Amino acid sequence: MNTEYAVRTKNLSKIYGAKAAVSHLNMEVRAGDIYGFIGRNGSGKSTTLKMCCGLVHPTEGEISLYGLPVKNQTARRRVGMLIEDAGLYPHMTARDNMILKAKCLGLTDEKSVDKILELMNLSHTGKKKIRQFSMGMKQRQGIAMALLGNPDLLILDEPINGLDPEGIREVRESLIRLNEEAGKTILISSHILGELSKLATCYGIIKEGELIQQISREKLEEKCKDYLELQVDNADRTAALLSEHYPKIHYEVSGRNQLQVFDFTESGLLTAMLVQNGILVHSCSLHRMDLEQYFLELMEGGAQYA
Amino acid sequence: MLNLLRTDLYRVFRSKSFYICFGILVFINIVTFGILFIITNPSTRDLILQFGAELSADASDIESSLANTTILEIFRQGTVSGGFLSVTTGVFGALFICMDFESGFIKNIMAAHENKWDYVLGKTGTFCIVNFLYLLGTFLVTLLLNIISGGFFAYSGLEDILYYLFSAWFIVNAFSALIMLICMITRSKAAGVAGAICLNSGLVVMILSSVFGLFGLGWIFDYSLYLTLASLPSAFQGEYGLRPFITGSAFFVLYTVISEIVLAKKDI
Amino acid sequence: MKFLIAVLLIVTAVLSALIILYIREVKHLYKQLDQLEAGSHIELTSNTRNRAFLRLYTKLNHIFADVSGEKQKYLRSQTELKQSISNIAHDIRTPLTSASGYLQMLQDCTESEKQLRYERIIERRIAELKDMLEELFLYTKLTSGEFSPDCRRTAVFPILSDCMIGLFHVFEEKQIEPDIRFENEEICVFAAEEILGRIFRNLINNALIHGLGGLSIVQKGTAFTFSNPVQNASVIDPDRIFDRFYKADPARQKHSSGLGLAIVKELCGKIGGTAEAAIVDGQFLAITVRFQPADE
Repeated sequence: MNTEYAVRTKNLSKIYGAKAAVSHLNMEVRAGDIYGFIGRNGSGKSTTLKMCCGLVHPTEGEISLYGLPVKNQTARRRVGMLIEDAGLYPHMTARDNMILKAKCLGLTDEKSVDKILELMNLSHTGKKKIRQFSMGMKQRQGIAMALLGNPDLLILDEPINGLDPEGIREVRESLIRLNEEAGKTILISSHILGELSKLATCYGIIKEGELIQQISREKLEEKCKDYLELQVDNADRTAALLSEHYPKIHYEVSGRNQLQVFDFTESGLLTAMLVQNGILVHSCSLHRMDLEQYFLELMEGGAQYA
Repeated sequence: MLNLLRTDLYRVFRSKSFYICFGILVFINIVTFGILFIITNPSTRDLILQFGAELSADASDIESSLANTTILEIFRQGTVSGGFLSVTTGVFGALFICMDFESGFIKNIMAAHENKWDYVLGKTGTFCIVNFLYLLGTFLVTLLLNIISGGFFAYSGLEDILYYLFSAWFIVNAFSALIMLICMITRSKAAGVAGAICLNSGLVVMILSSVFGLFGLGWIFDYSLYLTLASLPSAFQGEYGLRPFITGSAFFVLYTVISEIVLAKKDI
Repeated sequence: MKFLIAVLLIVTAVLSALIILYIREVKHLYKQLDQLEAGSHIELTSNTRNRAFLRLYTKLNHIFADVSGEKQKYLRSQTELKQSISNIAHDIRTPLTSASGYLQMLQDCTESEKQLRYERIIERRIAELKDMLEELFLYTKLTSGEFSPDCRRTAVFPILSDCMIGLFHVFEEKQIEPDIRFENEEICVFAAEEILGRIFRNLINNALIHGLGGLSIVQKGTAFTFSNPVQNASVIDPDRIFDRFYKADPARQKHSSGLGLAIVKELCGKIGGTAEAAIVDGQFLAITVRFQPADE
């Protein structure tokens, strides 16, 4: 049983009539990651996630959860999901909804219900019915329901929809804690890049039903940093010269003969100084990319960044 | 399946509609009992005649036809054969199932249970229990009223009571399965309730029966749930007595299986 | 008679159903244990409410929660360790490269004035590195549990004075005049001399290197508060200031090991004391160390 991947799809497609909502998707979510699934509205995010939860049958392709097919009941037990709006009975209280889900799963004791409600800041709601909840509270309740049974994988479809900044922050912090402390894998979709970028360790970018790129956060940051990259023949000497001539300079040695200089734009002068002092500058390039710009260009179809 | 059954029962006993529907049935039973009592009892009959009520039969006719009325008969007239019981449980069932879909809680259930039989059997199990409670409850009310009125109507034998209640239960369960099927197909409260009102009350069956009757095929509908229920004998009568069980079971299984197929085919 | 048969049939049916149910439950448990073995943390679920099964599940949940807790602690410490090693290597690389570069320039240089300057810079870099590694060794010793200090009644003021004198040149260079206020200059605490000295030195160094300039030391009972003004108090998280390699300023220009305050906290703990930090008046960082009172 290969459990390195929490979710793995192979050639996944879903066709509604003549239109393919999802086509030939090959997604891999490593266990322990927070996978940010980004795409425009209508790009097939929800459909894909619904298929991963077993709510929608794929037209083509396979999905495996922790090495087992998605139809396997035991594998599904390891997943907690919040798809679109939280499925809650409006005429019942938060606690009742949780108890119902706990019974549905077959949990053996109800202590975890109260623990999770407290974690999500909902234990004070008492007799308040769901229909009286604010949007943010409903979303938190949805996440609480997803956490029942201590799943290893959380699949969340736009969980911060409709939340105010405070609510977004709370959800984000809870998710990070769940990932770091409890080791949960989180597959989260959103069309808001800013929020996802604070959370995700790995990104999957979907456009018109196709996964156009899958990239880890480190590689993405590599592509997006704002610095001057110097390839020289003598890093040691370069380092000394930099300190000498620009006392306030901030640089890092990033390889055997490679340095990165931050917050510095006068590359010409710098290169000249180095050359004057006998350093062979193989290359001096400005690395500048805004995260948003990166994604926008990707969405527009710029294959150069793929 | 058992877990879903428990979940549903938890919700049933916390829902208002369960108690409201039961209340309606009890009310109708009381009213039926009341009216028949008033008509049969000479003193009260005279009273209402004084108030200007008109009775289509005269005193002696009423005496003779109602002389041997048993409580089972009252019970039948009240809620069962007219279809009230099945319509009420049907409406309750439609609201109950469609709430799952409307609220989106079905997502929670289906994500945890791949096997659609768990859901379908859980629901039918719940309805079997609810129907049983409704039947027993309303019958006990009739019994109680009879006791209070000093045994005005004749008591039926225990065997007959058990037979009647049991066979009615089978039929009503099949009706619930039918409503579940409608809900699986339409996923709409309106359609489910409309179905309960039209089908469980025998409206559709009566229409079809008379249409088919023109071709001499009306007898087919004698095997329909509604007519089986309406013509349920009040006493065990040998072979004929097995008909409701067979009809009920057959339709129950049929509707349940189709429900599962429909549920499995459709996406959530 | 028929009634009896009917009853027996029902009873048999019910019992058979129960047996099937329980056997399926055992299989269900097996499948879940399979998942748990593969590394899952799910809570066990049951299809039956039979008390025996429920107790079994509760007990199993409990056991697995314990095991997984241990495992997570282990994994976390592994990650922390790797992170620490990476941090250290990273911190060492840049000044070492710099020293090496200056050495090259020294070799190429002919002016004696420049030569002297380069020599001094190289010396400084190497000293920095030495200090960093010293702190690292000390920290490892402290956290490995082999450290058992020899504590006795110790007078505080003389030790503090020694530290101040030792760092006098730095005070002079930065033109800072420390403000020392002792309620009772005879105060004694239960500690070891070198440890106390180390604590004070690290605290003073921290203020000198990372503070804006200015240092005040106040004593109240067995609590000693070191406060210094800081540039941007809002980015400093006083709860995390004692974490290893914690940087309030992500760019972290100053060349220090990042372990200074972590060592202070560990040392305090070893002699039965505590260390706390707080932001005061929105612009001062105040670190208070408390010690055990010396027996009278």
